[in-house]
Order: sequence, then C-alpha cells, then structure tokens
Amino acid sequence: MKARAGYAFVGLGLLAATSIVVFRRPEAKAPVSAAVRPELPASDGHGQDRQLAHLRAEVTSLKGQLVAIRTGLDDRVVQAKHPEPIVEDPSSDSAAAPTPEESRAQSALEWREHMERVAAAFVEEPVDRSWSKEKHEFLESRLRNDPVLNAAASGLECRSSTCRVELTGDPIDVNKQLPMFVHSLGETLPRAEAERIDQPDGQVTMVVYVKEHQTEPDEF
Amino acid sequence: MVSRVGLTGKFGTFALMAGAVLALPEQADAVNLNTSGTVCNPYNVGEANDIDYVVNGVRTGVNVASGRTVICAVPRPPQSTPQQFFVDGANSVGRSTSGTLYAYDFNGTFQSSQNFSSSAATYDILLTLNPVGSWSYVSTLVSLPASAGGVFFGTIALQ
Repeated sequence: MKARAGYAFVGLGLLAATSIVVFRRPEAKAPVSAAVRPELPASDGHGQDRQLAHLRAEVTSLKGQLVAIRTGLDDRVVQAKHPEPIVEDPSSDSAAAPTPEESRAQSALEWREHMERVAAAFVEEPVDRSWSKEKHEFLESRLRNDPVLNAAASGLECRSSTCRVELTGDPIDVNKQLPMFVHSLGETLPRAEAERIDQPDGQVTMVVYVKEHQTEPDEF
Repeated sequence: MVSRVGLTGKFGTFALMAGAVLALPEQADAVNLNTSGTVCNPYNVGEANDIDYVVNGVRTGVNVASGRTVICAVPRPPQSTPQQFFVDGANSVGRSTSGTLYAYDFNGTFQSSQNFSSSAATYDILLTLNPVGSWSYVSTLVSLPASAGGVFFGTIALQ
C-alpha cells in the first residue's frame, strides 16, 4: 500500500513537470531584424543554456560589426579632414579639357588656318576683267575718302567676286579706320574678312578680303 | 484587397513622379540672345545729344537734320561657327538704315564683317559671320536716318 502511494506520487510529479514544460508561455522577445535573428534551438532539457550561449555569440558578433563600422567612419573623417592629393588620369576628360589660354591659342590658330584657306581660294579665283576693273575703281574711290587708309593702302587686286586690299600702317590708325571703310562698301562688297600680319618695324599689315556675293558659309 | 488609402497613396506617388518628369527643363543650349537697340551708343562722342533712345530701340533726334551712327554691343552665346544674327528695325517712308556687323578677336583685331541696308517699313535681316570664334567680340554699327526717320530695334544672336 505504501509502495503504491509512492508510485502515485512520483507519477503525479512527472505529469506536473511535463505540463509545465509543454504549456509554458513563451517569453516576450524584443523584435529583431531578419538579418540578426538568431536561430533558436528547440527547447529541451538544456534549452535555456544553449539559447544563452547562442545569444552571447550573437552579441559578440554584433560587437565586432560595430567596431568595424566605427573604424570605417573614423577613416572617412580623417580622409575628409586630410584629403589625399588627386592624381589626374591623363586619359580622363578633365585632363583633356584645354585651359582658357590654350583655348584662345587654338581659336587664334583656327582663324589663321581659315584665312590661309581664304587666301588660297582668292589665288585660284578666275579673273573677270570687267568686274575686276569696276570694283577696283570703287574701292579706290572709297579709300580716297579716308586719308589714313589711302596712305596705308599697299595693294589692291580684284578678281571675279573677291577683292584683296592690303593696308599697312600704325596698328591703332588702321584698326580705327578699317571698320568704317568696310561699312562704306555697303551692299556693293558687303562681306569682309581680314588677316593681321605684324611687321618687324612695329607696323601692321591688314590683308582684307572683301566679297560681293553671299555664299555658303564654308566657302568664305 | 487594396485599401482606398493605399490606392490614393500609389496614385499620388505616380502623379508626383509624372509631374517631376514633365517639369524637367528642356535642353538648355537652344538659347538666342536678344539685345535691344537701347544699348547702342553714339559712334562719335560729339553727336551724343543727337541720339534719341526710345522704348523699342534707338533713333536720331527729331530735330537732327542728318544721319547719325551708333555702335551697339552684341552679346552672343560662344558657339561654333558660323553664327547667324538678325538685325531688326523700322524706317519712315523714303528713309533707309544701313549697318555692319563686326567680329573682333580678343586682341582687338578685326576679323570679319557683313553689311546690311534696308529702306523697308520694317526690316528683319539675317546675317552670318563665318567663322567667328568663341573668344570673339561682336558689335553692330548702325547708320540711322535723320530726323527720327528710323528706329533700330536691336540685334539677335542665334544659336
């Protein structure tokens, strides 16, 4: 009888222990992100110890990540305060972009090359004697109206649609009078282009090509 | 099931994105520069009192018996050549206006020019300077008719 009561007591104890394990409510947990959510082992006899060990490992890992992030931020702050000199890649666009001085020199070179083409076209232009005589006289009359340019005129030649006027003199005087001279040509010879040649004695020669007709832009 | 708030939110986001795209500025390089004739100055300083500036340009004074000349700055976009320009103005009956568009390099050396002339009641003349470098200056010299007989409206640099 006494032994039966003991077995019953032990059986009730086992039943109670099983109930506690099975029906125990899970503890409320703080939400964790999927990236750091630990894979908790199933509860068994050593569940709490294993969970604790697992969480300690996670905390250790997160501490390591935090240290790495801090180190990276510190490096960036140091870099911002003391930037390293930028070494330009010669093949990059920024290195290829000309300076203003280079751009101006290039612009002047392009103009000289353009005027070389204009001069070459003039040499190849056929001569129309009637047109040439008429425009020659017209230009002489305009030059006579300007004593400065009349004295500076060192050459005058007309062909079939273009005339070449050479003016040599003091640069200030020639440059001052030239705009009014080409303006005075009106609709008779409405277009002009000029090349400047500096002389060793300080004077300047302006070679002016004046043209009768409107032509395609690339031709004049 | 999608809630009404969700639908409204999605539509609002779409509308905002569409509005932002439509509000993007157009290509910024197609710009003409219009310069009124009111910027012109007397070519000869002694004739300064003979020039009359009006809201739509410049002309000679009513009591000025002969023509006068003005010089006008022409701001322009520095672009590749050739570059085109419009000169605009008006003449009274029997009067005419003539002028010249000039390009000078940054050393002050004459490069190129083109003349124009008109006796039309209103004129709108297309001129071309070829080439004109991106570092060049451009100006317009205008011979105005006497006695307020014509108004020069200005120059437009095209791009």
